[in-house]
Amino acid sequence: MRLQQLDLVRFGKFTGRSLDFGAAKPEEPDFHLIYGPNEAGKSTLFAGFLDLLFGIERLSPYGFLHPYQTMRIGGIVEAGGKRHHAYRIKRNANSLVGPDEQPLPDNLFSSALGAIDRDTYRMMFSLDDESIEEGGEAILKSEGELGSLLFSASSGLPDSSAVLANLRAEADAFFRPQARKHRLAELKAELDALKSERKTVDINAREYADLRKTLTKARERHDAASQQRAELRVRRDRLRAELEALPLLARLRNAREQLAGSQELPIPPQEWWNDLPALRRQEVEIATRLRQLDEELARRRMELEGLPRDEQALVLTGRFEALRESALDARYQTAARDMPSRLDELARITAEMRACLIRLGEADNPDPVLLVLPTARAARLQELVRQHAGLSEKLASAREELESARRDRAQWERELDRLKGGVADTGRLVERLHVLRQSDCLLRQQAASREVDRLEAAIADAMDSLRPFAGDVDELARLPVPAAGVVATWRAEEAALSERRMRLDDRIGDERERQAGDEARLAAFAADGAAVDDATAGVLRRRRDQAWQLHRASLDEGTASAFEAASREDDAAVALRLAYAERVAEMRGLALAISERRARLQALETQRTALSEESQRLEATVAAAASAGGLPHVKLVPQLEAWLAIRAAALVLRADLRAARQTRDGAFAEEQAAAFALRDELVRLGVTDDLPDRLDELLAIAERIASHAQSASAAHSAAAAQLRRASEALESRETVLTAAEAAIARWEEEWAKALAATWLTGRAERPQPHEIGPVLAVLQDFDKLMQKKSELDHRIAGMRKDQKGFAEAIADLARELAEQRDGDPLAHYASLRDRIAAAHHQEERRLEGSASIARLEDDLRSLLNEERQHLAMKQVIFDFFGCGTVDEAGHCLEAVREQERQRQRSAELEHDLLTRLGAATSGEAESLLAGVDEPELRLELARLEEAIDATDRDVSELHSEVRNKEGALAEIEGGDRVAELEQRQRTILLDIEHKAVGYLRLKAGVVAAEHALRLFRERHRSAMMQRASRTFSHISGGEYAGLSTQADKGQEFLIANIAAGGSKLAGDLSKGTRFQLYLALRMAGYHEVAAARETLPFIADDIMETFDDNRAGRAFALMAEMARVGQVIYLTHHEHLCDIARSACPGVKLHKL
Amino acid sequence: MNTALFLAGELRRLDEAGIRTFIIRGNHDAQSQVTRELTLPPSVHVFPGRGKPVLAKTLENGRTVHVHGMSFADPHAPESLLPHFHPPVADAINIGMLHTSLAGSAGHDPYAPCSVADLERHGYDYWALGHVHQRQVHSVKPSIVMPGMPQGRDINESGVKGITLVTIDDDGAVALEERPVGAAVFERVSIDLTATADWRDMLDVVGRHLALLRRGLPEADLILRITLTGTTPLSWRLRRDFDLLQGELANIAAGFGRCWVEKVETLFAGCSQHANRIAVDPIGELTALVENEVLSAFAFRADMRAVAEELLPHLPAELRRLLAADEGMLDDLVENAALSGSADVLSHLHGRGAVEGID
Repeated sequence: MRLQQLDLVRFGKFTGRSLDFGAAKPEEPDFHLIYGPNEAGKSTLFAGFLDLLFGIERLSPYGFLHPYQTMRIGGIVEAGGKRHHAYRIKRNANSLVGPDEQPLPDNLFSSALGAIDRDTYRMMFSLDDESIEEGGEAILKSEGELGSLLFSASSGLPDSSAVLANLRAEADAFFRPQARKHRLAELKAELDALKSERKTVDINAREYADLRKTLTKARERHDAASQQRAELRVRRDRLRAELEALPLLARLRNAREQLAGSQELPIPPQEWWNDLPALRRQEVEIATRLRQLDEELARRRMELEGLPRDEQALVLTGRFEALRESALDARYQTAARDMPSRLDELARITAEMRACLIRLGEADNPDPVLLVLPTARAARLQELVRQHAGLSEKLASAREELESARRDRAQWERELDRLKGGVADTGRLVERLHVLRQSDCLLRQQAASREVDRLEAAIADAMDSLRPFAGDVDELARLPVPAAGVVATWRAEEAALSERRMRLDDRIGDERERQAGDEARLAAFAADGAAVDDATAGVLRRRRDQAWQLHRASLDEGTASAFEAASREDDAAVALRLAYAERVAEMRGLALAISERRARLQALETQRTALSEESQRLEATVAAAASAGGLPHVKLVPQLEAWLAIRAAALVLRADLRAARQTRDGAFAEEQAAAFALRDELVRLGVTDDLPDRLDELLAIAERIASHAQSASAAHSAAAAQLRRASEALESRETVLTAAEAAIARWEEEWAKALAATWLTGRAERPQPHEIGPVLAVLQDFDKLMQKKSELDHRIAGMRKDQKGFAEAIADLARELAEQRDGDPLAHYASLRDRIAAAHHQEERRLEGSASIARLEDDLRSLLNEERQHLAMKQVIFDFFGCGTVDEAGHCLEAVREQERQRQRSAELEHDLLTRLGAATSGEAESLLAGVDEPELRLELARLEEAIDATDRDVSELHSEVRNKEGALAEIEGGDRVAELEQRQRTILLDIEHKAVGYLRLKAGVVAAEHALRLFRERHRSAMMQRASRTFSHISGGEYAGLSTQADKGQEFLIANIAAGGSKLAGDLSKGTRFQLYLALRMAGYHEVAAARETLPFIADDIMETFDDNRAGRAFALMAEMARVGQVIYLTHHEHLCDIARSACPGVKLHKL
Repeated sequence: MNTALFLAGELRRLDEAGIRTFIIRGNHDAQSQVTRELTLPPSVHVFPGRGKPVLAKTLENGRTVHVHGMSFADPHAPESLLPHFHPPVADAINIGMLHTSLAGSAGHDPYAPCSVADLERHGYDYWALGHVHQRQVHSVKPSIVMPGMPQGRDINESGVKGITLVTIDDDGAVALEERPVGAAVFERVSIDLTATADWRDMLDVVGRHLALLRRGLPEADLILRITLTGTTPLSWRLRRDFDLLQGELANIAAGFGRCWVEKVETLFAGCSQHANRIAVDPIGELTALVENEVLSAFAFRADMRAVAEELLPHLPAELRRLLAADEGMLDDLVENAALSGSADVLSHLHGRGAVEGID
């Protein structure tokens, strides 16, 4: 996979940013270095690329500028040999879209990605300072675990050994054979605790039965003891009662004697005990109140004597009140105060009236009252004056407007004359234009032309690929070609033939191989000579027989020795053969097998020849068909098929081309017809000069002319309308003027009539309308002043009358009271008022005094009544007791009460005695007590008390025993405790089972993974170690010669060899060197992965922080080497690294963010 | 004894409420001394081994109701008890009580075996049966009902459990009503995660399934065993972050109220096909190595066998019997552990970045 272009349309801080990595060039390393300062968005870039491949993350941190819903990242990605231009957007489904916004399949990249997901990608194909540091750490941790190191280096997973160690520790936490403390032991201890608890809580049936039996027995004993105790107690209580009854009996007897000794008194009514003290109190109270009332009456009567009456004043009260209500005194005072100011005002008004007369020019008029006009007349005059102003104004304006209307009309007449020329009829032209505008013949013509060009080019292309056929398309169409079915049959035949040939070849090869093996084995047997093969043995035997024949014929020394030698040789051979009989048999078998194989090979060869003949025949058929179609050298079916397919395509193109041409011609004819018609129309309108040929230009000219004509006719009709409106306006103005003139004439008449009835007609000259206004105003003032004057005169007269009336009334009253005094009537009035008020006051007090005397006399009467009742009640009591005073009666009552009390006590004592002894009558009780001896009784009681104490102790002991037993039984009774314990026990068992299985799984998994890692190590060690060693040596600039491994106790350690001699364990390397070692391993892993699958772009993010410049340069060179296998992108914010990279690898492409 | 006393207490409650109880002993309590020690309230009748029918009630219309029953005298009852039952009382309602395994099932001993047809023929109106834990109405007229049990004991007794309330009216018509009374219901639920690629989507799918299930069941505590199946890219993660998965599922279940997860199982098909397809990656290669080379290797098997044998003696005895009663079971145990364990561990090697991507 390769990233050709990354479009950060809306992603992170980027908007519409695009990075172009260009197309891959075969000989150049595909190495890109992206430089950007901090915060330039390098990691955004990587995240964006991942989002493009795998979808935008659900909670992407890059949605800060562009909200999630608008995020968009795209690019051109080459994957699986295809190039895709795609965009990723934030969406639940179909989040991958093409440039045309059509959704693309979500698994577009999956052929290249395989099972790699986002995180695996990040691990395997990216590296940053953090992961390189973790990798360095992992080298330390996986000390001795070479397999896991190699695995980590090729998968990018930082520390597989740590993962395994963690899991192992997890398993060990549950159980470790040698250890004592682990989870399993804890759980087992818990289980045991539960079991023992259950044992204590639960009980079996037999024990339960025993418990119940003992409980029953204890209960019986307890019941017996308490029965005994109760009996004793009853007896004791009886004795006690008798003992206590003895003094009671003595007291009873005493009381009875006392009662018998005294005389029985009569019993008064019950309420007397309350009444007597009340009577005593009442007696005193009544006496006191009588005395008080007598004294009060005497005092009141004396007071009444001392108050006199003023009869005279009281008689006059009515008249005086009438005078006061008329308020004459107030009016008298007001008149005296206001009089001077009213007189002043009268003088002023008289002067103003004179001034008015002078203004009117009638100073000498003897009767000014006549000057005042009647109100209706004055109003009429004023109204006329007002009308006159309006009318004259209207007249003037009507004249003016008439003049302007005339001017308007003249102007529009001139305008209409001017516009009369230049109006023409364009109706048909417009209609035609409308039709032509809707026609699309030009567009169609263009489109058809383009289509024709395109199709011609396509046909030319097709014809090129149909070479060596040299004719044109029509010839092509006429060519005889085999039908599609025939070709398919050929293809099937060819496939079957080649399949069969392959199988044959396989078998032949196989047979040959075996034959060669057999022959070699046979030769080896023969060469080693230990065994004698059949042929040799036969030769020897024949030679011996020949020697024997010779010897038998001659029987001399020579033949004998020859026979002997031959015989010995043969014997030796036979002996050998016997000794190696097995091998001989094998050799014989081999020889047989070889000949069998040879025969089989021959048969196979024959079959192969037949096959190739058949395929030649097929090729010949195909070639014949091909050459019929003008293809001289085609023999193979696929070639022919491909050619036929192209031909078919070309024929389709030809049909399309024909259709396109027809379309174009039709459109052209349409255009010509349209242009002709339009030109005719234009000529008719008088446009003759320079008419163009093209339809579109003609259309333009026609449209311009039509629009000119339309605007001219519009202007003309507008001018005519204006003229009509101007004439109408002129007529209406003339009417208005006539009306105004008539109105003025009517007014003049009325004015003369109005003036005729007034004194104004008598004046020397007739007054004008504007002069009459002020005269009327002065007349109005004069009228008002006259009214004011008459009002004042009336008021002054009234005041003088009031003054006189008051003085007379006062004088009358004074006479009646015989108070003859001169002076101010007001002072008189005041003294009269005071005297009458004093007389009234005295009278009221007298009335009050006599009323209180009457009340006191009433009280006295009721008190005397009360006294009589009191005396009657007292007498009743005195009669009952036969005594004289209240005190004596009180003593008698006390005596009665005392006797009653004694009787009651004796009854109580008797009742008490009966209850204690449980007897029915007092006689019975007394007889019971008669035979009792007190000391003996006390002795008996003490004995009983002791017995009760003893039984008491017994009962309480037995009771507690019963309680204990009951408690024991109750503890068992029916709880769910045992069930709960059982449940917990089972839960723990389930837990243990679950955990034990989990333990086995973990254990098995870890062991399996370790086994697999060892196998992985064996598989990849040589290639990866070699490459890593070389890479590491290169990065370190030859400081280290390379890497090697050392096995020790089933573990294998990684060792760095120092060039100067010596070696270091990975753990002894410096931090930076360890990073470089990790980098070397990762690079080796990358190459290892690249050999097995399509590579993915490798992203490295500033991993050389700890490298010096030289090592960085060499690392860049190595990355460039990686870039020959797949795309490598290096992100950095160090500017100097750019130069280093350029010098280490001239083919690097620099990009700036 | 405690439990028996509890039973007696509950029977007393029935007695106080005026409800009569009829009991027959079955194979488990045939000779129980415990129940013999109990003092049962007077309204409880325990049928002896051979007994007469009991007149339970006389209806308002004068018909009588008789209950027939027979206790096991012995924990074993290989013969049918039906011949010992009295014939039905004429003109009365007859109810029979019998502890029986009916026709029985393979692998279980027969207990008072008899056939439904025999019971039908006997002429009772209602047969109250016991022994089998799964409810089944064998016949409606006459009613022959195996009511099952009121409460499942573990996940192997799943489904809604309850009692059967049988109402017999004056005319002898029998009405059956199943009443779920279990405080807890065990259920297995299998959820297909095919086409679920996201952790959150997976939680949504599970949530939907559980909500549906919760709605369809009565208001009892629901105890679930959840099995996740299907082919999903999440399978690695689900294995690796199994603790988290369990926690999250338990949370979801708790959200529905009275709903608990007993256990989560994962069964993902096609892991090995997956492995073959990606064998070109280091992880895929490792997976393929484990599955093709390691698991079948003799040495590995021997190692694992040793580990299991080391563990077994340390387990409680009852568990040992349960896990590996014989050689075959031990082999199965080891093999299953190796299969799922290696998948678990490989999932941990598959990558850890995804853990950060949970939220």
